[in-house]
Amino acid sequence: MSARNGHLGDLAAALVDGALDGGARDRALVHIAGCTDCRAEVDHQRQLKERLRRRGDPFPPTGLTDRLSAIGRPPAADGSRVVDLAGSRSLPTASAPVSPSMAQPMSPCVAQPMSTPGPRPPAWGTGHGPLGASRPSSAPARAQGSRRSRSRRLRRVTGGMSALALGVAAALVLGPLRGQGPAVSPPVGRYTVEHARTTGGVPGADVSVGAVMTVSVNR
Amino acid sequence: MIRQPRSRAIRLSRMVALVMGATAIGGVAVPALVAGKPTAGARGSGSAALSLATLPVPRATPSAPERHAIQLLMRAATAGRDRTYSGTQYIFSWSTAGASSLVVDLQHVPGRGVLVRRAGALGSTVLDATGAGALDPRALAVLERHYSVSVARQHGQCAGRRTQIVEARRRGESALAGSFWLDTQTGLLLRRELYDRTGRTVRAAAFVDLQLAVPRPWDAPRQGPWDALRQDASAHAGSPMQDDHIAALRRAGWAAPAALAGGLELFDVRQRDGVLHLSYTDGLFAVSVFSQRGRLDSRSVKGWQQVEVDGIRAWTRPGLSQRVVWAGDGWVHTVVADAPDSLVSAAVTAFPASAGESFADRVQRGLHRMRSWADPTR
Repeated sequence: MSARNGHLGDLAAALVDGALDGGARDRALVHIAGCTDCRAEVDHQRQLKERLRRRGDPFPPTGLTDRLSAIGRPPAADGSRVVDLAGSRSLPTASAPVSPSMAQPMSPCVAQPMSTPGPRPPAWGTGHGPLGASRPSSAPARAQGSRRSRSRRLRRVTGGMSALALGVAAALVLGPLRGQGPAVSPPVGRYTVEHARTTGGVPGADVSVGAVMTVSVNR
Repeated sequence: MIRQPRSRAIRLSRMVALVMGATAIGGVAVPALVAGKPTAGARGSGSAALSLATLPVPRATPSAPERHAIQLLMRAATAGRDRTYSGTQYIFSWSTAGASSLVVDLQHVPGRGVLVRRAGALGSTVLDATGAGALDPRALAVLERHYSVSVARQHGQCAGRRTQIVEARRRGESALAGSFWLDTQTGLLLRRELYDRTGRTVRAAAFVDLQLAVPRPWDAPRQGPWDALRQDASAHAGSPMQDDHIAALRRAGWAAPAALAGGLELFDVRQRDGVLHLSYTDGLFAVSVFSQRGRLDSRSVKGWQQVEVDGIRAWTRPGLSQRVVWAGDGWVHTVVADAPDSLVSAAVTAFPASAGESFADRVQRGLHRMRSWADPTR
């Protein structure tokens, strides 16, 4: 690794990899602060490294690999099999049994009959609970009364909901869009200066940035 | 079933009453429900305003090695304020917006401040009389709370000087978050590197040469350069607000969360010309949020890069400090940060965004308008 023609050359990759020691690193960083070509090269290397880092290889679950490898292979005498992942071979053995479900060939899904639905739980707010059940009346009358009261309640709920929807709709129509106020152009340069001055003592902050910005802002 | 006219009239009147009642209930209940939702401006107002001076002490007593590392950092803070020095420093910053760098010449005279200029440039500016650039002991207290610090076994070199290296790791994590090279002889902070959670360097700054003197002071402006520039700096920054003023601002609808995700704590609040400046730190990184009322003038972000921060439309541009602008709900916010992208996102998502006003807000305003018809005095 070496610098070439006054540029970083291979050192750009070494810089990105953190392979340069303190002094060399400092010299390289000072150089790229003033050299557009080398800065672009270092940026490129960083992006490349970042892309590779993000790429990563997805690892399937081990169990899935085992099962996929086991498909189509004859079972051992005792019906079991073990998978040699290194050699991708199936070795019959008695010491590593697998579950019967794994040993069986995969079968298509079979539709199961749906279970008969049980009694519905009482609907919240409809009054079908212990209180309603305790009302003394004959079965047909109870059924008819129940239908009527259900109908009444339904109408009330529907009416209430409609009214509420109307109210909300009216409020929506009448509620104008919030006034967005005056157009603002944030003076970001000045903000940067103020940020540097306020947070200059924080270990990770760079107060010099604000100083240089001050010169720019004041000009 | 035969429907009688009278019973129909009764039913009709019932329905009207029902509608009126429901509307009335809506008028009362919906605003109440809406009021129950904390407004953007009230976020974070539930807790008392925090300042570095009033923050609680660290949870655990630091171990002897940790105390030693803290003492070295405190020594660096003192040295940065009390030592005379001059030199050349580079600063680098990497973020999703791009890489930025700067090389500056510095001169520091105790009690007078730091003069800074771009390397090779003629103009200069003063930062602060108290030794700007020196580590702030208050920030170190926050650092101690969120990070474990230790002294590396190996010594280092920077600007030809022997250094001790103090390393900071987020509590409960093994990855490095920051490294500080401190001059063995003087205690001055000579180099600093900060890393994000993936180990990438996000900021780096170091002296490439350093003298413990100011051999040739730069030409200064004609009259009282240090004092004049210092006053200018103070006028720009304003002064920190007290807790009761911060509470009043929150009541008036300004967003000033006491803490943000990622361990950022509010440590300084200032207001000037209708702009609220909130400063946050986790002890290592610094994030400022500037808020002002209004809507964003699109011309002001012309040429900026439009980005999406956790679903929020924002604009950014590369620079040594990260700068992100976004707007929403009648507010314009600007983040200026020396921090990894994750902490910038934490700041952006904590303030009202451009998703627009919520359904509930609009309904509440409409109902308020309807009530004002019935009662013009409201």
